[in-house]
Amino acid sequence: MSESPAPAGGETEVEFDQLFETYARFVWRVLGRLGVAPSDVADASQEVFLVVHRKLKSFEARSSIKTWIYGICLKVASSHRRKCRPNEGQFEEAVLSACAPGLDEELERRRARAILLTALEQLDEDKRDVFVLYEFEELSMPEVAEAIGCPVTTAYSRLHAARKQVRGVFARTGLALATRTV
Amino acid sequence: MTESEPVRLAHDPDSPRELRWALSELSDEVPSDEALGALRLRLTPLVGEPARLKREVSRLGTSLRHLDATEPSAEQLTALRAALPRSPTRNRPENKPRRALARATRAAWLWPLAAAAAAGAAYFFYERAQTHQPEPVPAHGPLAPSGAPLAPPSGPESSTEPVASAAAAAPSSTLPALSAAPAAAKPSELTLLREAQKALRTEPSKALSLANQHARLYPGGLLAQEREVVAISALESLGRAAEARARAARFQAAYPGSAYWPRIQHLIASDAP
Repeated sequence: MSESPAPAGGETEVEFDQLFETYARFVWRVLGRLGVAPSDVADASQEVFLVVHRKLKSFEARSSIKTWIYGICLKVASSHRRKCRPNEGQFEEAVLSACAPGLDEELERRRARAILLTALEQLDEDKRDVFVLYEFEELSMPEVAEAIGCPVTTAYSRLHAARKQVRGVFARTGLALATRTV
Repeated sequence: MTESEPVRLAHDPDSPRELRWALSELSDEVPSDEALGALRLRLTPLVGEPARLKREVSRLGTSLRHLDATEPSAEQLTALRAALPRSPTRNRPENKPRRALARATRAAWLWPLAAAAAAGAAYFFYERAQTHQPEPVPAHGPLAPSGAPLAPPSGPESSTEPVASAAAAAPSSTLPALSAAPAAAKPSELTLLREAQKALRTEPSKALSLANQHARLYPGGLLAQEREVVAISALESLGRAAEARARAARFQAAYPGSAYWPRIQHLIASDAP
């Protein structure tokens, strides 16, 4: 191949790069959705890919590579979330109170985004994982269950619970703001 | 009852409009090419150069090892630029099915990466080239006797992911910034390892002590294997080959089949008879 004396394992390197190309964006985004603080997403992504690289050779095709990588994201996100909890939320709160509904669509969209982030933050970890993988990443339910490592039925019940809670937050926030502006 | 998958909220007309908006807004947010390029660069010391960049660069008859901290010639830059995929416009089109977007911008991160490499900003490349250069180097001098603090990976981690417990004990208030100012608080795994990696070329003894610090603070840490690679590399640079080999042996015992093993073999082979 190339004349540069790459360390052994060139195959893995090529494969790793393909994975990076295919999944870097998704990894980055999903970590953010899973509650890793924005300032921490780069570090968390790096951790994910280090684990991917290290385990690539031992990866067995028992699961799809996609659910495997998402599974790693879940674990890394979980450890980062615990570190950063206290700082989250304040910013979104501020955005929420600054934006009254009905001003213009752009503002409303931003407000909706803030509400969703707040709602996600309030979800338990296990519900949030299911919600993010299903609603944002559009994994199928069996894939979600595989990435998380739980039975499909459990994934379903977490999804239902998460949806109920998210809808609830939207209903409450909408109402609160509506009464405030009236 | 066979449950068919529920319609996703973003496409469900019964969802509140705001919720559908929010879902699509958040779904469309992707990192910039620069961010991805920087991420790939940061992975380089531990993972290797991007294969594609390597191919492109070698097509130019040069090698990444020569793209060091000195500035490249204008011709080199132009040639590299021409050889690499064009950087697509980074403004997101207004109306985009996001999978198509993802496809269109695939590997666009290579662009800033290549620019960085060519411009010499990629000190990682340089560093790695120096550290791992396999040219037949005369064996290092007298082997220092052991006795230095060696912190072996303490106990093989369970074969599943060690992730969850790793960072749980980290201080709750610090958000490890990229520039990572050393705070009084316990430094994060990544910060320690990055600093160690940085020190490898210029101050291997500092790299080793940071790696050992990492081993003390995060014995079963997420990045334990990467730490050992750095430590072994540092020991080699310090001419402490016997210790490097001993540590490598412990590594192999603790992490059989590790993806880093070939790299480690390469490191310790460089001064073998």
